[in-house]
Amino acid sequence: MTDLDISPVHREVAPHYTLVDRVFRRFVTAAALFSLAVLALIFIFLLQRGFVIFRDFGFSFITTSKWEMIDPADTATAVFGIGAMLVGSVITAAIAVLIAVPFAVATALFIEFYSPRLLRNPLTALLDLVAAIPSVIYGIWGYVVLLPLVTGWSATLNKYLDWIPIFSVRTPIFGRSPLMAGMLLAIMILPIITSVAREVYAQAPRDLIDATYALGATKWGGIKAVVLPFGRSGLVGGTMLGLGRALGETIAVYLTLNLVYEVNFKILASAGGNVASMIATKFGEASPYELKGLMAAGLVLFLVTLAVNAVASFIVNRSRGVV
Amino acid sequence: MSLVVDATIARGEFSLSVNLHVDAGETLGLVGRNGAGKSTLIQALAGLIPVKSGSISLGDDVWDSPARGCFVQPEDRHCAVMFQDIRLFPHMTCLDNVAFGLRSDGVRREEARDRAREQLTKVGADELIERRASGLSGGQAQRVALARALALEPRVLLLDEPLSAVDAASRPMLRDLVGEALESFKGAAIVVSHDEADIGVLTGVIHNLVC
Repeated sequence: MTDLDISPVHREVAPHYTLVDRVFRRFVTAAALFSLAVLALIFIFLLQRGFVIFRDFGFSFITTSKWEMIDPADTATAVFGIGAMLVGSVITAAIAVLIAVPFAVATALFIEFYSPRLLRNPLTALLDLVAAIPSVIYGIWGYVVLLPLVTGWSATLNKYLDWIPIFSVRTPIFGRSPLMAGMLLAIMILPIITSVAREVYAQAPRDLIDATYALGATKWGGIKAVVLPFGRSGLVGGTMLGLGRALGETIAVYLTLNLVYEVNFKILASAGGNVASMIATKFGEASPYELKGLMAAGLVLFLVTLAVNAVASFIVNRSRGVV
Repeated sequence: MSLVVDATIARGEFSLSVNLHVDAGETLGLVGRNGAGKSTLIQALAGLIPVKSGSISLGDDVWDSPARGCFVQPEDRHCAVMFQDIRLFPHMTCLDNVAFGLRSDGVRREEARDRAREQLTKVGADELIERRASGLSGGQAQRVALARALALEPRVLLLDEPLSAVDAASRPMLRDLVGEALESFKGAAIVVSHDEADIGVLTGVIHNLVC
């Protein structure tokens, strides 16, 4: 009887990369690093330009709400604070998301589950087309078409619901209000959220949807039980994309919201602003020191947007494992 | 009320002609090789795909008949399916899985949960009630799926390979369970399997499906 040696022998698995593999690897690595480098350079640029402002004003730069420089030559006369603009960014973006998400979900479900098969592809293409409309077009349309409508709605809201603090106003001047800007932003971010939502809803497991029907569920029952839970993380991701766009929107907000340096939670009142539109407003005639202030404001906006995206990918990654 | 099927079902290139009659309280066994169209037939009966010609009816209700232009939606057929690949809802607890059909039928949440709990106990899965359906073993999942189908108290019960996901050792136990469930079931039942031995134990009438 021969002695069989069956003890395991460690075997090296050495991948052999061909020249093409190595070149391609370098190429994609470089491309990925490049976008990170651009991000880092923007950050460094803003920090370098705006650093003086953070040194001079400290935390009051983001907590106070005053932006004035009486003598452009004398930096001691300057008071910079973007508190109101930050609050404005958050309020308008929040209004936009609150309005857009239900419509986006409904539109996505309609396209994917209720629309005639023939319409599905054209509708999807249309959606992507709408997402590509430049924001200045939205801004002008908002100013000309939506503004008169929203002014009327605001008056009605204020008339019947002014006992709710956010719907009360000091002077009955409606129009270029956070609600107006928020609604316009809602329309602007609707396509991107819808597009992402539709894509994740299309990936909901078909066999489980069939299972709901086979157990007596209606179409809506199947959507509620399977499609919505499976699409939740994707919807959050899409919403955050939309939120990022709403936070950084410049020209549409510039056209539809009165720039007033004052924290305003009354969403019907004609006062507010957001960081991006403030930068756009001030940029042209800013003195060198004020320009530094605007750079600092840009840095804050940059960090807020980055934080929103980080939170979004965290939520998406975390909920991906659940289902 | 008897289930009468006399139809041709087509799915892409595949086509299948079936002529069946199952009385209430009776169980029909269907055997056939892989690809004979067993699961396709189940789907047509459940209303997930329409028949190409002929008709499916239960008693006086015509479920599907292209010639007469009628098609009853799945949710109005009151039939319950236990799928070959089980298809529990992974993000719900076993209790909610079983209660799902009843909730869809308009039963109030508390009552649906009570009845689901009862049904899970009947199939010997009471310890799984609070568990999520995603982490179950094959045999456990099959019990829950059986409970989910039975809880509906359907008029027609369709079991597609109800013993497919269990190993040989636990097979007899589950087979007894399915057998008991079929015995006490008052509607028309169809059991599909590729294994004639299983079918022989579970049902009296066997129909061989050849395409």
